[in-house]
Amino acid sequence: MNRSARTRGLWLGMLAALALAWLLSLIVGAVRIPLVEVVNILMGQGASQPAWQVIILDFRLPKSLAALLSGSALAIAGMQMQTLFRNPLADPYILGISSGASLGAALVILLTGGGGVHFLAKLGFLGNAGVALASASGALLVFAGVTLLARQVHTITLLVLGVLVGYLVNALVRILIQFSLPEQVQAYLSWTFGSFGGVSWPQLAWFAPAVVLGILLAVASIKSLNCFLLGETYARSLGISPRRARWIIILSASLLAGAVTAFCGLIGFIGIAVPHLARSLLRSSDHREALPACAILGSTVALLADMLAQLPGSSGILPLNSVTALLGAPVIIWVILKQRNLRQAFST
Amino acid sequence: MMLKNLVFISLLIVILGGCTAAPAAPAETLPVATLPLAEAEDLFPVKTELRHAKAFTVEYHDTYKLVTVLQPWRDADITFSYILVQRGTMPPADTGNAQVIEIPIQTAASLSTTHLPYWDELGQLDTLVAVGNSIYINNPKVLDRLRNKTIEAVGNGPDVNVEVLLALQPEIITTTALGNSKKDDYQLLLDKGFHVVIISDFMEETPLGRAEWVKFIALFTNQEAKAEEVFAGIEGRYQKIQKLAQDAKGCPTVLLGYEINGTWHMPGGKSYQATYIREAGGCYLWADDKTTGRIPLSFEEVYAKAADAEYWFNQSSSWLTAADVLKADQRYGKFNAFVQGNTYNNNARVNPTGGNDYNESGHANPDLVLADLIAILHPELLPDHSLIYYRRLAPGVSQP
Amino acid sequence: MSVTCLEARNLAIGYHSRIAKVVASGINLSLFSGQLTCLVGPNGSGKSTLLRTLSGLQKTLAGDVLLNGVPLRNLSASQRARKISVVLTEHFPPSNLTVRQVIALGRLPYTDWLGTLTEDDERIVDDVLDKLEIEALAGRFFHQLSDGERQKTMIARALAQQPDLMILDEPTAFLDWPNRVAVLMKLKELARTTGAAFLLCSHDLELVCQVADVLWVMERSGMLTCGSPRELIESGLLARVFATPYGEFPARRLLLER
Repeated sequence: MNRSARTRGLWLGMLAALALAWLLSLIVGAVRIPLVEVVNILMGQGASQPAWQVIILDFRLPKSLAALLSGSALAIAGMQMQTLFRNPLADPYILGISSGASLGAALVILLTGGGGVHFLAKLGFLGNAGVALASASGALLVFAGVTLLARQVHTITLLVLGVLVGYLVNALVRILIQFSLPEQVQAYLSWTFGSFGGVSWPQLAWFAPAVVLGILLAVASIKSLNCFLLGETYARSLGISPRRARWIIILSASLLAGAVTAFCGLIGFIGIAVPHLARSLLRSSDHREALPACAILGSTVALLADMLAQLPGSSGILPLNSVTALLGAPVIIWVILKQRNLRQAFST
Repeated sequence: MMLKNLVFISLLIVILGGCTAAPAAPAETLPVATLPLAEAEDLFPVKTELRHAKAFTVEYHDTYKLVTVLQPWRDADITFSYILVQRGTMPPADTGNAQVIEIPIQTAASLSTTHLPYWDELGQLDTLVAVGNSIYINNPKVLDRLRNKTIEAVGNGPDVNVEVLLALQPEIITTTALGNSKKDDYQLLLDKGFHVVIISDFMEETPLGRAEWVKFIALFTNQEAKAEEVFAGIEGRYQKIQKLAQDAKGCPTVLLGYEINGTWHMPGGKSYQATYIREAGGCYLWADDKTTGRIPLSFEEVYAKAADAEYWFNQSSSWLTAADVLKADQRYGKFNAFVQGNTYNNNARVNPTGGNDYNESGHANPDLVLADLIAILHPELLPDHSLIYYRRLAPGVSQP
Repeated sequence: MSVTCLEARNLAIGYHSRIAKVVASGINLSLFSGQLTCLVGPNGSGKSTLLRTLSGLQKTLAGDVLLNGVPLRNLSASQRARKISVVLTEHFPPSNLTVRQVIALGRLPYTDWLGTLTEDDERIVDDVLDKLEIEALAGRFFHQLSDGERQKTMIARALAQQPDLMILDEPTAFLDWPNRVAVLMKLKELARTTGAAFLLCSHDLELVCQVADVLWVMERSGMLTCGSPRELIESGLLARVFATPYGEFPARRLLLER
């Protein structure tokens, strides 16, 4: 059938694009390293220049893996939130999980160097690892709060609560900024730009399992997500428990969004734009197809954004969030215009 | 004999008389001095000359000084002028946009911690009635005064405590500004009727230029002589060791700064940090850069260029030991400067609440900072120097 | 031939809030397989509440609902989903689902954890498309359909669940005359051919009187009367219940037309 040939071609194309993006991310960087050398290094055969080996194995490889994981995680979480809340502009951060993560990061970045510097240092809250730890703790706290409520309240209430948590956190962070040195404020600002480059191998050891777990949970929620397309009442008549399904979806999305925020900062747009891209390319809302497509496309977009942020050919880097916004916004606009009945596709 | 005296005295009278011939006063000027000019002393016998500082100028007039801050902040398109009028005299008729301030001042508030050393050098700590944020202050004398409430902490920025300042009524308030109306406090203080003096010492491009701002404060206290004495001392010591460094053999390569969240904010080639390294006889790897700010670079790029740098300075102020460096990111362990134990951080003097004295007295004592750097980069030149502002972060060296 | 599919004993229906609001109580009903039963009554009599309670979507306040002799509350949600399917008036948010995909969602109670469709499932979907005569629509996007086509698709979806009992809440609302007739006739035919019990509620009195096997008349007082349409017309119940200031419901006319 025409449709299945097209679909096959699509999947092949997406996978090829991902592979290409990943390979490019290893080749492109501040230093030009030939493809042959890259392959040799990956195969464990060393390189003609030892510095290249360090660059590939300790800098580019973990960074590309972080991008891969983050892109998938954000796209999948975004898709889940869009289905659960029936909102085409829902992003993975809608529950306020990342606000919790931001607060954790702010506490570490803005306070170390201020009061409690030695105390926090002794607890191990230093540098990128420390930020990640605090960030994850913050995310966890908010998540605990959200899930306690998720069983009691209506879905819409969760949405409102998420927004409120976001405002609260912003206010707290502003207070922290008031008492911080300019050096620290700049560091926090830098954190909000998002980056994959701060993730080293020890951090990946935590980041990767968290994302994989989140994705597994998302896969387990595919059936419920499809049911939710018909609405909660029909979902119940099909034997799904909406409360439990919601809990698993929220757990999965929180884990994914929280992990990415903790290790890479706030990265926007991928979570909103990629699900639309996936659904649009596949011409389907079936989560059995949309989820893997989100994973693949999300990774590709993240890798692409990271490469562009490195301003190939010149020195210096751009904030990652600016690049994802530049990539993501046109996609959203295109999707909206192309699908003239977006309102139909997602009536509230 | 008597004739000679007579002639001499007559000549004297003629000469002095000529001098006292007052010019026909133009109708619009107000009477200027209560004493005839000829018999008054020069009100400002020592006139400041600036040898390094470029961000402010001073013009001396009979009864007042015209001080102009040329670049109050980066990319500023306005200047600030102050007319410092000697007490008991009248200001000039046309003061334009300048604030008119009577000197010598008796009371002042300094909202920025980095300016406190200038007041201390001039022995004017008793003049201070208020400071900004107390948590970053290292100066023990100021801290004492804060404890027994002879100095109050009023904060800075948009939340500066105006009520306390109104109660204290300092004659001038010194502050810094960023040109951002949301973050600066000078406008709201001006609106309350205070004399607000903007200090832009951070706009200087050289450490000596910055330290010379002690003379700026001295203009308000009529201590030009003392300021010159203090500064000349600093300048002399600085230039002496700088010359030593220039003649030194070899130029060790230097890396500065640190990475956070994947971005290394590398100090520009014309920044203070870079200038210090150059004057200390070091070769900063980004010396070719033309900016005074910071360049955002990727961690990888820095590694590619500076993995073999011999020395590494000025990291995060929360890194106290080598273990801290690795905890922040284990990839620092791949830098030669770290492995060889040649990593030095400028946070040897930090107060319990995190205020780094490098940013306080360090700016007023560039000779000491330079000495630290030379002692590290060329130990043979200053063998007896103990590090003041720098601590060594070497694996295996235990630190507090 | 007629087996009791669903039974209600001393049922009380209503809403659980801080104070339970009883809509109707003391209800005793039987629903038979292979028959089309229609629930009629004035607005506000509690028809929707009754349907939702019987389908298990809403809890009973008192009494029992038995499905094939087993109390509903003893069944798990997925067991119930294989026995009872619903067609509601709710519109669900549009998405890129084709007609086929919507119908396939009806197979979810039988699929594995991922929701994969086996060949059997696909065959059943084909079968249902055929039964509802909407094969031509299979590849079209659901929200591009007309109201009548959509209703048929939703019935097809409910049918794909292979239920013993299908409950439909106002299936003829918003449809034009030809479609209304078509839907009701189709439901009756399905009751005969599949052997499942069909329960629906409707305001389409005239049509329903001619098509239904059994009528349940629910009055505002909560009183529920069951019987064949003929019985209920001849007894004058329908005329009384649906009387208006402008005259009574011309029920007898229907008897003559039959």
